[in-house]
Parts: sequence; C-alpha cells; structure tokens
Amino acid sequence: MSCEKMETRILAYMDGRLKENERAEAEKHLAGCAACRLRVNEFRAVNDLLDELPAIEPSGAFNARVHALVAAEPQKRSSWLTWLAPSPRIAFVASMLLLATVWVGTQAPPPPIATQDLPVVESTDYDVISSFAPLSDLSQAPDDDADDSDAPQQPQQM
Amino acid sequence: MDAPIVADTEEGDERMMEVADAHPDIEQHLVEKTRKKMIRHAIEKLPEKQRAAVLLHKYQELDYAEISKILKCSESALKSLLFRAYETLRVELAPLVAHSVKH
Repeated sequence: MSCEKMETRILAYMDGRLKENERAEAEKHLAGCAACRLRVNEFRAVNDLLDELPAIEPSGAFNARVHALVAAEPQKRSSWLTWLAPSPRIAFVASMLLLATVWVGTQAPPPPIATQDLPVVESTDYDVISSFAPLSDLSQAPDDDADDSDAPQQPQQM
Repeated sequence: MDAPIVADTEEGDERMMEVADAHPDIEQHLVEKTRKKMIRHAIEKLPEKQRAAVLLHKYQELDYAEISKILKCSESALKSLLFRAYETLRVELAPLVAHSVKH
C-alpha cells in the first residue's frame, strides 16, 4: 500500500471502520513506514485534543445550517407521511374508530344464534296452537289473546 | 498562655497552606483554559465544510454515509475532507500534539 492510499484510510483505520483485509493492509504499511506511523500517532493526539471539548457547542449558525440540511433531506418522504397522518391525535382517533368497528363486528354474532333457536320455538308454538282450546273457549275470554298458555285455564278458574 | 499561641500558629499555617494550594489551581485552570481556547480556535478556523465534517464525525458520531449525505458529497470526498481537516488541526495544534505524542 502507498502512503497516498494510507492517507485516505487513516481516519477509518483510527475509527476501526476498515474491513478486515483493509486493516491488515494498513497495519502492514504502518509497520514499514515511519512517516505514516508518526501521522497516525499525531492524528490520534488531535483526536484526543478534540475529546477535551466534550461540551463543544457548534455555533448557533452552524447548528441552524446543519438542521436545515437535515430537514431538507427527508422532506419528500415526510410530505406523504404527513398527508397520511396529519397529526398523531388524528391517527389515534382513526385507529380507535377502526378498533371499535372491529369490536362491534365481533360482537354481532349473538343475534344469529338467537334466530337459529327460533325454529325450535316455532315448532313448540305450533304444538301450542294445535292443542289450543276450541273457539268456544276463546269467545268466553276474548281479552286474554296475548297470554296463549293461560287462555284455556282462565275460563276454568272463573 | 501557651494554648492561644498554638492556636494562632495553627491558623497561620492553615492560611499559608490555602494560599500555597490556590496557586497551582489557578495556573492549571489557566493552562486548561488556554488549551481549550486553542483547540476551539483551530476548529473554528477550518474551512466550513471541513469543520462540519469534523463536528459531525467527532461530536455527533455519525457514520461516513450519513455525513456524506448531509454534506452532499461522496464518501471518498468526505474521507479526504476529514484527512485535510486533521492535517490542518495537526499543524495548528502542533505544540499540543507534539507534547502528547512524546508522552
């Protein structure tokens, strides 16, 4: 590896971001090149010096510019996302509505079960009707139409 | 008669020790302050794109792909940008760098 190539890889080497074979190449070069070895040591020293400013505050203007750049970057993606869900609150309400719809849907089945029972009721009704008292009894108690089962008994009690 | 004298000398010693301790603190504080000022100044003097690359790489800990996206350049351009920035910092901070390389 040449010194020029080492220059392009020196920071990635220091960061430990080189691929295994690239790192091996770099280390081989460093073993035989005092100038590059010195540069690595000096760059490490620079790195340590930069570490001494942990609370480095990039100037407000710089921050604003970086934020503007970052904000400008994913705008295309966020535009349709914001159209889809203009606010988290609306998204929440929509999902709750959907949940409610699903819940109502799952609660619906009980009525069908009731209608399935109906034929049984109808057949007993039929039996009740077939064993009805003759018309003469009905004429004696015309007000008890609604109470089918009691209708034949009431005249006897009277 | 003896007791107050002993107390006086003790107080005197304490005061002297306080003064003696304070000096290195102030000196160290000033050295630190100057050092940080130099580092900050060296970063501020970098060309804007190099400065942005260093700040994003070093302090925001973004990876090369993210930084090159923000700075709208290729990854290889970013690597040479960072290399040039470190070269400049190495020269600007030569006294501090030489000091820490020796140790």
